[in-house]
Formats: sequence, C-alpha cells, structure tokens
Amino acid sequence: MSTLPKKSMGPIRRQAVNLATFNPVRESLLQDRPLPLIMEPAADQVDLADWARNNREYIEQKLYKHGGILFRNFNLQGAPDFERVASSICSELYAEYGDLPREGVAGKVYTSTPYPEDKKILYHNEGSHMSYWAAKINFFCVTVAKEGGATPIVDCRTVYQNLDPVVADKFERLGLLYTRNFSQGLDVSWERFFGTEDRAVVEESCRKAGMTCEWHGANDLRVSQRCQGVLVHPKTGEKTFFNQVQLHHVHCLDPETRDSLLAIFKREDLPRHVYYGDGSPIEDSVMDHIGEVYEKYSVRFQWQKGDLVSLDNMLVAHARDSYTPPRKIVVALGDMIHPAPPVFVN
Amino acid sequence: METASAAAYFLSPQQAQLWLAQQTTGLEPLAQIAVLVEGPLAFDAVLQSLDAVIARHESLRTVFRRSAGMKTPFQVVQPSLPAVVEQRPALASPLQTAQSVLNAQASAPFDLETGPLLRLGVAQLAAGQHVLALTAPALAADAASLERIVVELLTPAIAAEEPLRYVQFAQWQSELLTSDDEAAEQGRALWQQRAASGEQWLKLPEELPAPASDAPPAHRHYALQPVLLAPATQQAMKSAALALQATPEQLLLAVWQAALHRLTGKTQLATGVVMPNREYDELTEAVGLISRQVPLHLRFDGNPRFDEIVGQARTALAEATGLQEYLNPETSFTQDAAVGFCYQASQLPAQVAHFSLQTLALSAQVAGAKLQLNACELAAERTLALQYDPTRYSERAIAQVAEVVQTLLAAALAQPQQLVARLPVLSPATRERMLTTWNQTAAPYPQQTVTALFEQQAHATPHRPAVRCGEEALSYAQLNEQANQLAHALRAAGVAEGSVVGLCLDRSTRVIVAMLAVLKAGGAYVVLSPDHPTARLAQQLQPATAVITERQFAAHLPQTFGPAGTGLSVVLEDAAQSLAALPISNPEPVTTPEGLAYVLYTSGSTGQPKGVAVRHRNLVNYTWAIRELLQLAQYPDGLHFASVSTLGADLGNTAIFPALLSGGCLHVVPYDIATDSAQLAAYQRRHPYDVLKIVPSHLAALFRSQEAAQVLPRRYLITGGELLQRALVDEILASGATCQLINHYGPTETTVGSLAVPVDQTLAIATAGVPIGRPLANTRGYILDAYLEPVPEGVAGELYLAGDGVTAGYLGQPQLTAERFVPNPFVAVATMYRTGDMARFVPGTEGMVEFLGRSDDQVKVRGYRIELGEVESALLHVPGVKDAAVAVRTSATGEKSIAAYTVPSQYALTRDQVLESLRQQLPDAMIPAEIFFLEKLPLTANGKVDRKALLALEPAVLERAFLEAATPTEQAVVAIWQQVLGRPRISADDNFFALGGHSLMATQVVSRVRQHFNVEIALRALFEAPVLQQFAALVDASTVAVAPQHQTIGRASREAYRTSSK
Repeated sequence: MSTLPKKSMGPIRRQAVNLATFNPVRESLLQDRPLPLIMEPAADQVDLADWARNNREYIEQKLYKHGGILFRNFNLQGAPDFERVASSICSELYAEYGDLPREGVAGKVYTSTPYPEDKKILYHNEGSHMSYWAAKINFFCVTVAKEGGATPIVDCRTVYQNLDPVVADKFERLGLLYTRNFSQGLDVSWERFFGTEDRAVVEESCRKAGMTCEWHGANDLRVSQRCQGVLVHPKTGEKTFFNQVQLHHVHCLDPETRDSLLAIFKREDLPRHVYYGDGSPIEDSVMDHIGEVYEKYSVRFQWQKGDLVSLDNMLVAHARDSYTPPRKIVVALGDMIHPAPPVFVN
Repeated sequence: METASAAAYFLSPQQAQLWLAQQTTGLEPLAQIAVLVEGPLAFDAVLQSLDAVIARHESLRTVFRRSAGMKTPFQVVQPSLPAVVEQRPALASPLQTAQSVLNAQASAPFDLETGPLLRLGVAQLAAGQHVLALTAPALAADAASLERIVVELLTPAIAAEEPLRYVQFAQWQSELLTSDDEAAEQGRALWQQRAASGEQWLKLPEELPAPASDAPPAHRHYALQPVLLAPATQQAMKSAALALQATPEQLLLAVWQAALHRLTGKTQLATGVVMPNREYDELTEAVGLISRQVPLHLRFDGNPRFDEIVGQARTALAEATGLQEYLNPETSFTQDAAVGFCYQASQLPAQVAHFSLQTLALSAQVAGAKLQLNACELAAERTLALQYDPTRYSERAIAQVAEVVQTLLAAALAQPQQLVARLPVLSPATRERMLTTWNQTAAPYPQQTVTALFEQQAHATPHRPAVRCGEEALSYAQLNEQANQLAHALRAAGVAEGSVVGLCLDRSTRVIVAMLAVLKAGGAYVVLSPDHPTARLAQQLQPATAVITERQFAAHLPQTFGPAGTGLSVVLEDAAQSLAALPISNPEPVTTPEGLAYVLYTSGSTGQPKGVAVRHRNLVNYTWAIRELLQLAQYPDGLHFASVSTLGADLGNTAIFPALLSGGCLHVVPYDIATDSAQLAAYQRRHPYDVLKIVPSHLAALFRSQEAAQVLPRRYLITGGELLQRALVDEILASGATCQLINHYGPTETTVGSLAVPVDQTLAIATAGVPIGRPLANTRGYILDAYLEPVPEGVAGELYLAGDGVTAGYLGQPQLTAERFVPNPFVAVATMYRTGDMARFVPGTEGMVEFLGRSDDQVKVRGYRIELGEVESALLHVPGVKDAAVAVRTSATGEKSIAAYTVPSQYALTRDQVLESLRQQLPDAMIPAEIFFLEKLPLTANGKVDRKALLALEPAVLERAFLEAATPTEQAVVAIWQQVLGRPRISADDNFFALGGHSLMATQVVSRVRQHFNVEIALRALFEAPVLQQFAALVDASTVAVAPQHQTIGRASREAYRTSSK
C-alpha cells in the first residue's frame, strides 16, 4: 500500500492479431542475397520446434529455393532444444555419423569437426565423398568464437554455373576419385576405421560401399571411391557442384604443411588425395580456379549464440574459418539419401 | 461465436509466466475470495449485477486460444460469457461456510479455451447475512480484481467510467520491457543486476524433484497448511512492527527468509514476492492479472541480527515497488520454480451501499512457486498459510516448515535484536524429541575391566579356540597363560598402572597375547605399524615405558624412546626362554575400569599425531553394545570373528574384544590373504568365520573378482571406516549374500563405534550413501549448529557424540583435548566429543543419521583417517619444496587418492625425490599418489589455498619441473618445436602432443629437422618418440642410420594425430 501519488500509464494502445493470418515467423534476407533466408520470431514465446513440425514442407520449399535458412533469436537454450528443432525440420535425424564426435547431451547431435582452430576448413558438401549422404545439415551455435569462426556457405548451383565450362564439364563427365591411405601409425588405423582386424571384412565393406581397396607394404591399405563431381538435385532437377574436392586435394593445404607432406610422401601414398574420376591428376591451376569461384560467391554471416542454420546439403557447401577459442557449433544431419550409383563417361 | 479470424491479443508477461509454469507443473493457479455480507442482499439482484460486471470487464470474458508455433496462447475477448452461479448451503460458521464454498468452486478445472471463467457462490447464513464467494483462474483475475468485483456486484451504480481493458494493459506491460524511457532503463538495470547477483534458488531439506517436463501431470491444486498464530503473537506483531518502524509485510518477509535461511543454510536468498503492481492511476479499478511476482534478495552473510533483516526487507520492498513493472519474468525466473511470499491485505471497504462487509478469505496464486508463504490481513487479524506443490513436499515436510516459521516468528518478535542464527526454530517438544527421545540408549554393562572379563571367559571356556592366525591357533587357556607370563615379565620390568607399552609385531597370535599381557600388567598398549617410518614410531613411543617387538623389527625401532629415553625393548624371541619360566597364573589385578586400556594414534592436522586414550570402561561398554547389536546371546558356542585390517587402527576392535569377551574365536587374517579374494575365499572355506568387519573400499576391491560372494561371512558383515556406497550394497545383495549387512560409524575418540544400523533398515531411505544409523548403547548423538543448538531434522549440522564411549582425550595434549571434548550442554557434568563430521537426521526416520562429509580437512582414503594438514606439513619438510598443498581426487569409479601440489624452490626437484623424503616421514596410506609441480598455489579470496581450483587443474596443465635441453641436438630440436608450436618454453621432457602438437605440425617438425640436420628421419619417429629427449636421441641415431622401425605407437600419439584428421 504505497502512499506515493499514483503514476500514469501514458498513451495506451491495443494491437490485435488476426489468428487466421498470424505467422509467428518473419522472413528476411541478408544483404539482399538469396542465401541464407533469415527466419526470426514475429512475437515473444514462439515455439520454433512446434512451428517447424507444422511447416516442414514450407521449410523444404524455402530450402530448395534459397539453399539455406538461418533461424535466429528463437531463444534456443542448448543441444536438447536444437535436437527438438532439427528433428522437426527433418523427417529423420541421422544417428550413425562416424566422422564427427557425438555431442554428449543429446542423442543425434554431433560436435563439429575438431580440426585445429588456426586452420580454415575449406568448402565441402557433407558426405559427398561417399555413396550416401544427408539431404539436410543443421548447425547450432552453442558458443560464439572469440574471433573468426564463421561458417561460410556457398550455393553450389551458382558455383557450377560460374566455373570455367571446360572444368565443369570434366568434373561432370569424369566424376572424382577420392583416395585414402591407411598407413600404420598415421591417421586412424584401418582396423579402427572399419572396426575389424579382418582384411576380408574390410574388402567386403569396401565392395558394398562401392570402394576399391588394395593392400600394400607391411600392413598398409589404400581405398578409393569414385563419386560424382556434379549432381542433379533429386527434387529441383538443377545441376550442383557437389563434392569435397577442396578437402582432399593436397594443393589446398597451407604451403608449409603441403610441402612437409610432399617431402615425406609420394603422391599416391598421401593420407588423402583426390583425382579426376579416371585417375588423372587434377591440375593445381584448376584447384585455384575452383577456390576462387567458391570464395567469390560465398556468404559469411556472424554466428550469434542460439543461431540455427539449416542447409540443403546438396545445394549448399559449407566451410569453416579459423578462430580463437572457445567456439562450439554442433551439427545434426537429417534425411539420408542413398542414390543409385552415378554413371561416368571416361 | 467468433471465427478463427477473431481479434486476438498477446498475453501479458505475468500471464505468460503463469501459463508456462502451469504447463510444467500441472497445477491450476486460482484467485479466490469469500466475503461475509450483512444487509438486504437479493440473489436476483446479484445475478443482474453479475451480467453487468462481466460486460464491463473484458478479462471475465476473455478466453485463451492456442496457436501452432506458439508456447503461449492468445487472449480472445468474447462479446459475452456466462459465469457459473450457485446457491450453497450454510454451515455452522461464516468461515466454515466460506471454506466449503471455495473448495467446491476449486474442485473442477476451468476450461480456459471456452470458459466460463468466473464462479460465484452465495450461501445464506441467516436473514440479511450471506457469504459471497468468487473463484476465477489466476490468469483472469488477481486479489484486488476480486475485491473490485465484489464491490461492483453490491453497488452497480459505482461503475461509472470505462475501465482499462486488460489487453491494453498487457500490451503496455510488454512494451515497457523494451521501452527506452529513463525509468524503464533504470528498472531493467536493477532487475538485471539482481538476476546476476548470484541468487540462490532454494531446495528444502525434504524436497522431491520436479516431475519430468515432458509428462505434464493431471489437473491438480496447490495444497495449504495453515500456520497458527497465537493471539499473543498477533499482538506482538503489532508492537514489534511499531518498534521496528516496519510494516507487518516487511516483518513477515524477514521471518520467512530467516526461516528459509535456517532450513537451507543458504546465505543469499531469492524469494518471489507477489506485488500488487497497481501503482498507476488507470489500474486502480482494473480487473485482470495485474499483480506479479518479483524476486527479492536478502543476505544473511555476516551473521546479521533479525532487525537488520527487517531493514533489508524494508529496502528491498520499497525498491521493488517503484520498479516492479520493468521486471521481465522470462529472464528472472528461469530456474526451478521459486519459493514465494505473498502478503495480501484486504482492501475491501467495511461498508458499501447498504451492506457491511468482512473478508473471510482472500488468495491469488501468481506464478508457479513450489512453496509460498501466504499472509492475509483481514480486518485486525492476520492469517498465515503455506501454499505448496504436493508433488514436491510431503505433509510432514510442510509441517516442519510451519513449525520453524511459527517458532522463529514468536522468538523474533520477542527479541528482534537477536542474531538470526540464534533464534530458536524448534518447538520445545521437537527439541526434546531430538535430544532425548532419539537418544534413549541406556543399557547395562559390567563395571569391570577388560582383563577381569577376559579372565572369567578363559576360566569358563579354557579349551575353546580363542585366536587363530593362519594355521596357528591358541585356546582360551593357552592365550591366557601366555599373556600371564608376559604380564609377569612386564610387571617385573616396571610396567605398572597407567604405563604405556608399544607393540611392534607382525600380524599374528602374538599381538593378541601381548595386548592382553599389557592390560594384565596394568598398562595401556599402543599398537605400532612396523611399516611406519622410524621417525613416526618414535613419536608414538614417546610416552612409552616399554615396547614389545620381534627381532625383524628391532633395528627399525628408535634406539631410545620413552620419558627421558628410558624405554625398555622386549624382543619376544630373545625373551622366550625366560618367559617360559614365569608363572601362568593371572597376575594380581591393579587396574580399575577407569584405567587406560590402549592408546591409538590418529593423524593430526598440525603434523603431530594424536594419541587417543581409551579407558577399560569405554571398551567394555563398546564390547557390550556390539554383543547386543549382533545378539551374541543367541550363540552360546561363540562366533568366529575375522579381523582383516591393521591392528594399528581401531577398526579391528569391532572383532577383537567382542570375540574374546563372548567365548568366540578371533581370526587375525594375514595381510596377503586379506587382500586377495581367492585366498580369502579359500581361508573362509577352511576356517569359516561368522563376522567380518571391513572397510567398504577394501570390500569393493575384493568384490572385483570371481570369488566375491565366497569371502562373505556366515552371519554378519560389518562395514565401517568410510561412507558405504549404495552401489556396493547392491553388489553385495546381488551376490546372493545370506549374511546380515551392518553399517557402523564412530571416531576413535568415542571408542571404535558410536552409531550403527542394519543395512536392510536403510534400503527404503532415499539418501546418497547408506545412513550411519542410530546411537549404540549408552551413546547419545547430537547434530548441532555453531551455537550448540540442535538443527531441524534434515538440516546439516555437526555431529557431537556423548555417553560412555567418550574417551579420556588425547594423551598428554590437554589443549587439543579441550578443543574437541567439550562440556555437554544437555546433560549435567558430562563431556561430548565434537566429531568434525557433518551429518543430518534423515527426515521421517526418527533419528537415523546420514553422514555428509567433513567440516575440516580430514579425509578418509581407503578407510584411513588422514589430516591433509599432516601431509602438507610433511611436504614442507621436503628439501627443495617452497610451498605445498594437498587435495583428495576422486576418480570416475569413486576411488579416492591424495594429490600433492608442490611449489619447488629449485627446478631440479623430481617427483621421486619428494616421494622418498615423504616415505621417511609418513605411513604408506598418507603418501600422495600423485605429485604435481606448480609455479604457485591458487588462493581463495580470503587467502587460503583453493583446493577446488587445484582439483580443477587438468593434469596436462600442471607443469612438471623444467628440464633444460642438454645436448646440442636437444637444443636445436627445442628451437624447432618452439617455432612450430609457438611456445616460448619447452622442457626436455615435454611431450610434443601434450603441448598441443598435431600431425600437421608434426610434418613441419620432421621436414625442418631433415633440413637442419640433413638426416633421413620418418614422420612416424615423432609419434614413436614424442618426448623431446627421446626424439632428439632418434635424431642423433639417424645421422648414422635410419630410425629403427618400432611396431607400436602410444595411444596418446594416435589421439593426437586423429584430432587433425578431417
């Protein structure tokens, strides 16, 4: 019971909402570029997981058009919230991704690649060096990097259209041959990678996955897989530069590391490398050209804590800038697709 | 009906908070009022007014529509909405009638999507006397709203101008949260600062966790427990309020927070206080959820007086009143539901129109508080009630809170200048129950010495086996006779009543002979551990007249000992012949039950071990308590007791005297058998034992093998010496054990054991570890606060022990003794021992004690009682150590070990040097498992070593002593590593990968090394030899040859490489 004189509320409005047309989500673009589409809450107390579940097809249509959506300011509190939203956006989250460490808390959320923070991770489409991959990839920002650490994204339709037609054609026609050498004591051992010590089992899994494998040296294994360099998107029918040639080509390492590796290994013994599908080397000049096109058309947005980015993995490639720790981005892959093996014209 | 396109409005922040809380708790918050109306009330007229009231106030016809993609619904205002109106029968009194009508109105949930949202009940008590009752969902009305509705129902003409629409208020309130005007910014800043000031959400001693959020519980109501206020308290509240210049609201908030402080021990409390929030002219007559809950903080650090807390409450309430509208509940109430406080003063006029009014009940639930103190000011009276979530608190738990509030309120009003910590919180009856009823343990035991009792037993059962060690056994007669011969020798050597005699012997029947001999001679024995350093043995022998030993240990003992260095050594092998010539008869008794029986050394925090002096009476009392606990009278032939722990600690005493004074057989199990399950199982098959006393970690280690179940005794398994974990109990039970499991607790200072409990009585009790039970015979346990007053049930306090187990204190250390053995304030002329153990009574168990940890630096590692101060003191004696601290690390599997953190005064100090020096000072159990070197010790704000910070240090962060690169190759490699790793300082024993190196860096190192030294060296060389010295050695080797091929690669290296793979 205050004895103070009462205050006055001043001008008062009442603004009605039309429930039939109310949309809890507002859309905008970043610097007027089509990628990414930004979705933000149009009101307090928006439940993104619930909205996404009710609007999955709409979100998919937007992904086909824009390639990626940045969901911002939805007050998502951590990995469990992220998993709820990601599983609303995707029909099914992928739980068996061996390449990334599993994030402790939630079931199908992974910590992003633990690659040294002072190195950039170049552009790639997740899983495009394998025979199956995720249609959607979702990222969630738990901790913003102190400095740097953006996840640049690029529309691979644009990349395809802007490559030198000769290069684009060669990638499309020949595809790519990814090779990996498991030599004792370096990288993951083949035993651990394949989860077996039985060479026959390794050979069988390679065969199933469409990989060739050969044993050499004391206990060393080389596996190669031929994959597409350009893909026709199964839903939109558009051609897209779908691969991870930058991640595998030795030319893309920083000069010091590249020189060290090349001083130690013969090219065919490099832990990882990639060739044209017919086994011929991809010229360094071609790699430079690809890098320029990626960089020219890429988009960088600054991560904010609680940001969720959903990408059509076949339409958009992502990368990672170097950063100053701490930084934590977690990942959830969804809607795996197992396409028919590609056909190549040598 | 409106269509889907009808106008909808966002909720107000307080509605949103309430809605979200309601979704998670399932509790339906309501607003209720009941008024006694005297005057010409016509039911029809009320109905008519009701229509007008609903037409006038939108809140009463606003329903809540859910919308996909939204956590909260929208408000949709309906053109009209009926209310539920009922005429109800009257009961004996107006108050009873009011309660019954209100209960009926609350019995069914409201349908918030469609309404109705108002329930009106009228009961006629007599002509011209009615009870009028209203109930609405709290989303639609607060207490002031209901009062306004009552006034308008009775005087329709009063409603003149158009009231504020609630949806307008909602929008205004939301906009304030983002408004940039100065008051708004100031207000938001205040609440942000409050939220960031480290508020502590409260958990009461007996509280259940919130139900899982994904399973919303069924429709439920808050439960209510009245807190009765005596007329004298009502009166005292008025005068105290006057004297302290405080409002009753401020007083009661102070009392409530003081009660919570005493129940939780938290010094900074946040309570969600319900504020009317009607500081604006436009809101005076508005109907709807205007009031809100704001978190207010009072601080209890610095031992405040009660009147100071009242002052804090006054300031906090005043501050909040001015700025309450700027609080964003979403950022202020993110945690578990708060504890609340609500003071409702009825503002209803005593007279409106032709009616005189009296409020009978008034309540409004504002947000999802799990527990709230509701105070209601009605006319001259105040009522108090605890409103609580019945899924979180039992009725008993709430009755305790009510008692604390009631007791503390009365005491605070009587002595407002008293320290909050000293205000009584227990009713006299409760206090009496805890101090006396739970300690009714009186039981008879013989007023004789251990010696006399043993001699009677030997006389009664001379041919029974008395003691066995391995394949060697003695009958009672043999044991008695051998002890007598040695006793006669000791007497001749000058051992008399009160003499202290050391026993430095291997685990054998000889130890038992020697113990009895010392007692018979009139002395007190000290069991020495032969593996202790000589320096420590010298400390323990300092008061001794003699030491009994064996040839193998003679050289290890100090050359001279005892007062003035006159101590005598008796080497048993050498004395065998002369002993055999001595009489086998019992020597003439010289001791009384008050005489000392043994001295037992425990770790001392100052670096000096403390010798606990135990009397015959203490030991006989304990022995008889164990006889009772194990019901030994049932076994006239005697049970077999196995002792598997060192006789230098008093764990073993649970077996020794209960066996020897009951006609049982004592098994002194050799160390190597006792620590190997297979051997112990074989021993149990060959020489079955009935009773086994063992430390839980020892048992857990034995249980890791196949033979686990076979090491268990036939009848009783007694655990003691450290916390018994539930997991181990589960393992024991799962192994098909048929023996009874007993948990046992007690410090040496109160003779072996003071509390015990059969574990099967604890299985239904929800505590982290197994409780330690209730006091044994003639023992009293108190759990007290700093002022030696009992703490409420469930609250942590320090455990004090009194009764016949309390020993004579620390031998020759009167000052230390006076610190720990203090006068018992509850019993005339008695002493109680301050254990330093934190404990609580488990609620609802009538006195079952749960151990909660230490109040000081004493720790138990594998059952050994260790003062960290003693280890620190020893570390500081290590040459080259400048500063040191010790902490106990607990592994993922729950195993404890001591870690030493040392600051060397020279870099050359090595781990082995430190360990070697410690081994000369400390027994094995006290030697740290890990030695770390630091540049300096982390300190807390008040300058103490911060042990938590030490424990948080990652092993990789802990720098080892720096090792300078010695050879030219090492120096060159250091330079390369420095460049690649970007580190200024690299020690010759640093590991490349531990310093952050990864495979890409490794390639750089190797290529630079090739260039610099012009050698062939494989990349894998760095993975095989990641330590600088080793790597440099490989570089040296490769100048003449290629690095040798190694087959294996360390795990660390693999991990390091993997982090660099894609």
